Amino acid sequence: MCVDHCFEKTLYYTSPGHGGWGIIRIAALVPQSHLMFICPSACFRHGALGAMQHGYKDRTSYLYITPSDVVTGYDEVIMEGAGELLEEETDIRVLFLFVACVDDFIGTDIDAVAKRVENKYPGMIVRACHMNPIAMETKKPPLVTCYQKMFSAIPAENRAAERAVNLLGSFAPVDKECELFGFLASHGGYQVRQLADYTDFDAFCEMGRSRFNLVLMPGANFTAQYMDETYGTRSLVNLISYDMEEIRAGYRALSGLLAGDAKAAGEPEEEPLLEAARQETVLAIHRAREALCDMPVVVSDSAVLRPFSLARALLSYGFRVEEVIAQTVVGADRPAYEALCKEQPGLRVTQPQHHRSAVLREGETHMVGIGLEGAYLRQCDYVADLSGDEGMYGYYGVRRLMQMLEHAVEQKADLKNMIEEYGAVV
Amino acid sequence: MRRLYRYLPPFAGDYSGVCSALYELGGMLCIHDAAGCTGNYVGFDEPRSYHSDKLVYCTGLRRTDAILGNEEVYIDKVLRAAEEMKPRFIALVGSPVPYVIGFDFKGVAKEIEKRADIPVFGFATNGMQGCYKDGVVMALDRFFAHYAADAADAAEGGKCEAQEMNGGDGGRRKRVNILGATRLDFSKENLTAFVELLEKNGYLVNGIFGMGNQLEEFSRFAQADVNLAVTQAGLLLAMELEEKYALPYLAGLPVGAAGSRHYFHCLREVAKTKESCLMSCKNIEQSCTGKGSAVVLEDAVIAASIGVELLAEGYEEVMLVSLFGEDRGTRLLDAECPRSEKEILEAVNRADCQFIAADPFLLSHRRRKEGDVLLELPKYAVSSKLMHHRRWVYIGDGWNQKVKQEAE
Repeated sequence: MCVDHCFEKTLYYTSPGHGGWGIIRIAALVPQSHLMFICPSACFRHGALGAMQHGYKDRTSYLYITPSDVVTGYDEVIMEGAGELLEEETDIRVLFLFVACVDDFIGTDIDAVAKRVENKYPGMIVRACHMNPIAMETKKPPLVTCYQKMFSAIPAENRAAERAVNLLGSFAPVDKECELFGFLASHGGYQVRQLADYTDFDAFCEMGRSRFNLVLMPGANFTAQYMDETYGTRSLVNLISYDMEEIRAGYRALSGLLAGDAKAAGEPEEEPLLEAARQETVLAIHRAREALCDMPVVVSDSAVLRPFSLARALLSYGFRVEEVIAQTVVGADRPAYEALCKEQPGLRVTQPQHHRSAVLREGETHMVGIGLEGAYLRQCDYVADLSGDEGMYGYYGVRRLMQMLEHAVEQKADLKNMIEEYGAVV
Repeated sequence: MRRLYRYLPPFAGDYSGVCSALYELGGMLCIHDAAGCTGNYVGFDEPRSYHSDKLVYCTGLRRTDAILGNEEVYIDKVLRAAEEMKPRFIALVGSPVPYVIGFDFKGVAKEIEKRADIPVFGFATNGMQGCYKDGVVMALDRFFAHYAADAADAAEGGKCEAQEMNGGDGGRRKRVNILGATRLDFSKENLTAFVELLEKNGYLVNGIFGMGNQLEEFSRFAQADVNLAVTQAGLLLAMELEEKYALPYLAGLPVGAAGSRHYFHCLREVAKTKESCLMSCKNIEQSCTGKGSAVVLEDAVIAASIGVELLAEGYEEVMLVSLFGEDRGTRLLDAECPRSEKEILEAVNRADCQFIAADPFLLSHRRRKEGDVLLELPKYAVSSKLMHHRRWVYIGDGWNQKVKQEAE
């Protein structure tokens, strides 16, 4: 296994399996919101077509800027465009004004423009967002800032006083089958609140009244911090994991957090609910391992945020992980990466966006890929169609992944169709 | 307000046009952007991506490098990739940020060329003005210019060889170039049908420029007798090549049975007289009349070709609407060129039209009325892969079969 130097900065190849939800789909989760993009005409073609594919095109609109706007600025263009939209569409509660990469060099005071629109249309909440992948490697990449803006739409007068825990950072909702729901209910009657569950803006605002935030992705840290400062929530980072020990530790930490607020019930490992979930998960792992019959596994960073952690967990469960497809090592995945460097010298690591990845490697395809991009690059016969840890948490997440693996090896995958149906954008 | 777009997606941008036209030529296409522009192209403007080994890359432009003008970072990345991947040429393709910061595509291309020892082309596209058509013109124009010397030599050699083989120019099959055909305009099936129809009518396809082609074809483009301009981009290029190399052109496509007869009649004339022609501007034989008015929203050359068939079928008036901007060609073809979404939707909703042909995305905004005939023309530059499964062959009598099918 390579140690760090295999992570090169090269020209980026973008495979058909690359991409995810994209900012537009994520921002559209805010109920009754509308997204207006102020950008060069070609910029948001992928976003608009993605919106059509996923059924929310009617909640997006575009103002195309021209070279002369670059010189003169486009504050008034936005005022006029927003006016036209808001005069016609009266159901909009939140308007997101998105500017693109070019604006980083033009310097529109987009927050001030948003304020002007708000003043002109009382009751309308207007937020300025930057869709600027050019800032990807800064401390505030677009996903981080946009996610915070989404939650900043909740009026500041809300106070964190209700027995509820917000899940931050997950875009697809965690299923109610997850033991987390029962765990929180049994720890003082807490309910789970997650953005994707809301269809009404006023109802969504109750997330500003939850006492706690559970941060499932590092990208949501900035938002959690904002919510703690604004609404008085308290946040706990508890990243999505597929490692049983880490999951147990996560529940322990959550129990501790709740105990500071209400009477917590004992150590989580002693709780029948968690123990039952764990036991069920052990059986699911056994079943999946049997189903795979030592088939090689490829883990992709398109499936999970921390592919090395997942690979290490799978190896510890007895799976034959042969390759990790990861563009880089994110901070939270570094301990697992470093451990694997020592423990698994034969594990192959491939950067999916390396210029070499443009030419598909020939070789064995009788393997199961976790995640579409890795599956594409290795042309895996079998695919567990997991993207961005969607809907995963706790023991339930491990169990569901095991079910996906078991299901995946039942028949060869129609990968092209899977990729098209997922409808990722870059 | 002319600038608010609420219903239609942005159409394919100029950088997608450059990449699409050069995709199959064995080069290394480097889009100078952060990620999203490349995502537009590979994700939504390039139907050939899956299982492809073509080299399309994003340079991964970052803010600090853009501000500081760290061009060397990207030059180095390009050189490293080129050394390993061995492309036949490199194309540096622009996006909005390089345009705003004044990135010197020509200069950087020259710099890389010195060090890479293969042809390097810089295309200052910006994703802001025009559309894919402009990128197609930019790319092919540069390639014709680059290979012009080779083409001139080959033309001499080719003509001598042909004369020897056939005992004079008169016995030789006429050679044609297909200009401006890209996957953003045509499905593979439509191009195949077109090539087959040309061959069936005794023509030899000398080169296809924009899709289904190889780099070598640029070196022999001047061997053709006639350029066939099949899109607005093709027409602009054909005009340019006529001025530079005295190559006559025919603008249009053989759509429908009557349209195809008209097309090949025009082609024979052009080959014989060496005088260029727009097929839609020649008198068309009408078998009947009384079908009312029609509107076709497409690339103007494609729309005009469909218009020929519709007139032959008995429509009295066909309004041509170009979705891809006004240019010399649209003025010759007398096509309307809406400049906003509002104007496009007004054209879609023309009350006095009984027949309307357009991309399904556009047709979905037609306020239906009794007797309307709507015909889908999925266009990759508009609806991308979302409507690609609804494509059909409109070349030749494929058109008539479809129209009959729709009527049933």
